[in-house]
Amino acid sequence: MIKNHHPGEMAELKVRSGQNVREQELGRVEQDLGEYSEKGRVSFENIGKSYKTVRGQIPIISGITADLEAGTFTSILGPSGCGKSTLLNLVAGLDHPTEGVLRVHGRPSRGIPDSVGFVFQEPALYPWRTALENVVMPLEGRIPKAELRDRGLQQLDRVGLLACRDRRPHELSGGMKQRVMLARVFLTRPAVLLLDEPFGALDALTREAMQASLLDLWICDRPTVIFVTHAVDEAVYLSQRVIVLSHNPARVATDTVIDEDYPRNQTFRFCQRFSDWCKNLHSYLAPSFERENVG
Amino acid sequence: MRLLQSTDSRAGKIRSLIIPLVLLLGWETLSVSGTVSSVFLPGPVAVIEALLNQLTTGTLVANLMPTMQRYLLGFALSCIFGIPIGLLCGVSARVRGYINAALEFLRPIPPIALIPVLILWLGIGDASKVAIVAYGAFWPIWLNTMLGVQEIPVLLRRSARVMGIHGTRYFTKVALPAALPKILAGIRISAALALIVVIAAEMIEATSGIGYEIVNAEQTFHSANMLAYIVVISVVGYIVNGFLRLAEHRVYAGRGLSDTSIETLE
Repeated sequence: MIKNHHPGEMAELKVRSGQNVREQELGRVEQDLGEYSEKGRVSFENIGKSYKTVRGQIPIISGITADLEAGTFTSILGPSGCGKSTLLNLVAGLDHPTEGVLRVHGRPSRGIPDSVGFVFQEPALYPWRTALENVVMPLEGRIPKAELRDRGLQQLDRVGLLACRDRRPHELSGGMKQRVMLARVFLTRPAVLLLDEPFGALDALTREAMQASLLDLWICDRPTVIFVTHAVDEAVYLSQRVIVLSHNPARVATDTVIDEDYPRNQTFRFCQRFSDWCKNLHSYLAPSFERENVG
Repeated sequence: MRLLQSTDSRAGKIRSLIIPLVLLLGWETLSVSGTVSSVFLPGPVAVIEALLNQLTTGTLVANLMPTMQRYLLGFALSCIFGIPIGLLCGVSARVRGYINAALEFLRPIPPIALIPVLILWLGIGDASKVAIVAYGAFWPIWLNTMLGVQEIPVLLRRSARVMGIHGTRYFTKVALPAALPKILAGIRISAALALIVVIAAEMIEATSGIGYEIVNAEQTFHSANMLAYIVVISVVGYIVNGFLRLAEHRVYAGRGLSDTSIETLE
């Protein structure tokens, strides 16, 4: 195997080995970086996905090519039902492409890849577990109990829910549930983080707070983020790069780097350049809306 | 909904006692007045007297013990087999394919019909009775466990897959706790069924036990004893059901579900 680490990764590896040797042996989540030549990198090569129906093969996604480097924040923007979620499912190994090559950590993907976190549109919390028990679930039985608890509490603290550790999902609001989801997904420090419209069901203010939390978490851990959304402003605010997908089947309409200071500052939302970016990206979405209306 | 709420209040409790009290009073009047012969229908007072008599002489305990032993052992066996097989059937379509056809073929056979067969195979002792109780109580537990697992939301299943929770960990961390409310509902149905089966088995062929004593009392015209043992069955069923409902209530409350969901699960 070629041991070709990214310089940043090497530094991180050194820090970790000094910190805690056991942390490196955490099973699938924090494996020896040598196993992957390009940990965190996700590349799509002419990816296509179609489903068999009674009317024949229906293509959902077609000819998607994009290379997402490790530690970058990319949004996939597109109208509802265009196949954005399908794309994430492919990366997570929950579904398989019918065409093309998908590489996760630089390797052709088979099954559920290591070190990938997924936040779904709806909070996937287990109702019989408390917030803390939900957060520690991925590492339960894999590391000593005391350490597990400490790490869980640390994650809950990062999302500002330390006081709610013993509450069960039905005692949490929608925003709190998604915060618990973020805490759980960051517990394992995944190299790739997939988010499928995670804040879609939240009100505007909660949503802004959640976006800020997500960026804070991202700055510390630097996973490669693929953030699926149908909200143009959310994509522009959060991401370094936005890939707009067209409808029926999904193809890349535009692949744009949002060339502004990053991470963003709250004032960015209110400046002219922000609305210019939004207007620009929206123009790629508009034709598909029209087509939808005609159809 | 309203009915359930009202039984919780004190007024509701009093209201729920009216019909039983009227019936008991009517029963006692019929018996004491001599309208119905006490051989056919001894009054409630006579039944209570018989019950106390059985209790002080030790006959009640001597017969209740073997019945409870058969009942609880058979019931435990049905859980030991029913829950794991149900979990497997719920999780894997392949296992379902192998097992379900065979099980569905056995299911329509009433436990009572198997009593002679099992006595022939396992003898007249406790083994045949335990086996028949286990057989009868197995079905609701198996079926409810399987359905409980199949009803786990897709989101929670996918989320477990992404977290790398599969194999044995999936059974213990996701499938079993997620199906628990449904499993408990199945257990409660099975508990009632197991009691019916154990009494029936004892009535057909036994040398001790509540079922045996009922038949014995009937044949020797000890009607008050017969009814006293029937009351004992009712009390046992009531207590077991009460404990299981309490367990269900705790599980439901822990998940923020109301008790009315317990009713709809049946």
